[in-house]
Amino acid sequence: MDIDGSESTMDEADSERLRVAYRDLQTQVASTVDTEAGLDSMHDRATAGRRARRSIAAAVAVAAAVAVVGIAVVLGRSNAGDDVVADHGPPRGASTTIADECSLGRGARIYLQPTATDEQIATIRAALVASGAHGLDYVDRAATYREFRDIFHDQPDLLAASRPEDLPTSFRVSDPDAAGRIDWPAMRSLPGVLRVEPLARGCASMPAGPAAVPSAAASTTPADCPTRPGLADLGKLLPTRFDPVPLPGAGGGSGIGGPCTRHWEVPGDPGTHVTEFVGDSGVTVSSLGGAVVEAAGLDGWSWGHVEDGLWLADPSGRFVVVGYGVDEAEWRALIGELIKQP
Amino acid sequence: MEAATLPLLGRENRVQHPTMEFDDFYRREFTGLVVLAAAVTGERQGAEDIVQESMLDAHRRWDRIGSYDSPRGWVRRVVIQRALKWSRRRLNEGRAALRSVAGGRIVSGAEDRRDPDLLEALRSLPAKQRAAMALHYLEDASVADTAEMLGVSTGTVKTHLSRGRRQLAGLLRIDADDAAEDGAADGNGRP
Repeated sequence: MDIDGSESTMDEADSERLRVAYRDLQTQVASTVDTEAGLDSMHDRATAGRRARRSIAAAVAVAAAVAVVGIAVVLGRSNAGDDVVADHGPPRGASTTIADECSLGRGARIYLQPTATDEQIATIRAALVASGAHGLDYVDRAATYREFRDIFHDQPDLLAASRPEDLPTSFRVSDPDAAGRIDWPAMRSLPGVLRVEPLARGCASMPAGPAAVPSAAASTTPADCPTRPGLADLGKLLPTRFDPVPLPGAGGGSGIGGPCTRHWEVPGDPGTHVTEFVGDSGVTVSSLGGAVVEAAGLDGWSWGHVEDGLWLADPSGRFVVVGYGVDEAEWRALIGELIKQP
Repeated sequence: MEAATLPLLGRENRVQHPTMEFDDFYRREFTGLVVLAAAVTGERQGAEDIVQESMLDAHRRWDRIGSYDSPRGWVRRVVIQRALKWSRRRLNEGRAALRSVAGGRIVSGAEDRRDPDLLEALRSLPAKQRAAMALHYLEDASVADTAEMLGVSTGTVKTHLSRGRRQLAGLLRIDADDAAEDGAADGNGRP
């Protein structure tokens, strides 16, 4: 037998040896797999994932609409006689501005976390009443959902993705005098309060408040990074409280995400991460390439899944990536991988 | 276990069929895909997570995938991609540094000693070589289908298979010889 023939015979023998080895592997691994337990676990996760995606999809739609017309238009109707609704909301947290307090003095709507408990809602109501808030209305879940459906009646995809429990209920203080007596910083600090929005623009001249841009202390983004209007403050727009966090190694062009990346986290939820690409990070929706397995249009917005979460993109192509159920190391790996995409 | 003999499907081969029940699909394919994931990563640990995540992807869009001629073909692609990514991460994390190849033998970390011999041997191969070997020898995929699945040329697949076959067969032969020697030694030691 010549050399080629000998090698071929050897290869055939090796191939047969390998087939046997792979069959043994099948037998060994199969004996340790619990398919039914896996199926149960998968259904549990699918249910949780649907809930999260519905919530975030609704959040994005709300954010997109808020970027254009303000949250008071999206989820709260201004009272008859109110002239103009605010086109940007007050800053979150304890900080206040002249414009903020001036607006709130003309009436306000206090949005509650969708997860607020009955006890928290009762406490908030009691605090409002104690402040002398006459003309207090509670916009419950059903009423909020009706408003939502009215506003988005022409967006069936969004309506299908949204449920009443995804939306924030609210108290509406329509009496300007009463609203002027309320201690708003204290109100915002109550558990269960999502944010406070003015019902009407109360000042002739509104100086730019800190909500227009993220605070310098909170942002990892250098001042020269470009921003686009409407989403300058992601944490303000998404109806879940996202706090900006300095991710170690991020920013400054030396860490993940580069100099024009901002990172956010949900307080009390270490498994949720948000990364916002605000400038020329080199990452675009199209450059996500194989990482994107699904995309759906929503009034110019789009979103898709990445391995550990999903991405959201506004019509201009700027996007954010949201991850859930991941720790920081995994998140850094995913973002780092996206950055490396050609 | 059912042998994996379904044809690989490209986009052009996707045919609409009545949607099968997802749970039936899961029960039928889960174990085989776990074996595939283990063969691609070279580790039993983590294989179920890879398949579970891939099944979750399929579940999310089952209305569409369930009507494909071969939903398994779609899920298998996702499993392979995830398994390769998982391997890269493992490498990046430095855990793979615990193992090294010395004189053709693999020195494994203690945590891996429970793995079957083939998995231990597979870890000496590059990830894409493992994937090529698994598709060809485990899934009975042709060279052309394996190339299409991995996004490489048929020549590259042949190279992967040739090198992988020789290295694995060599390692398995050594293991077999060792086992035979051990057995002989035991036999000699018995009264």
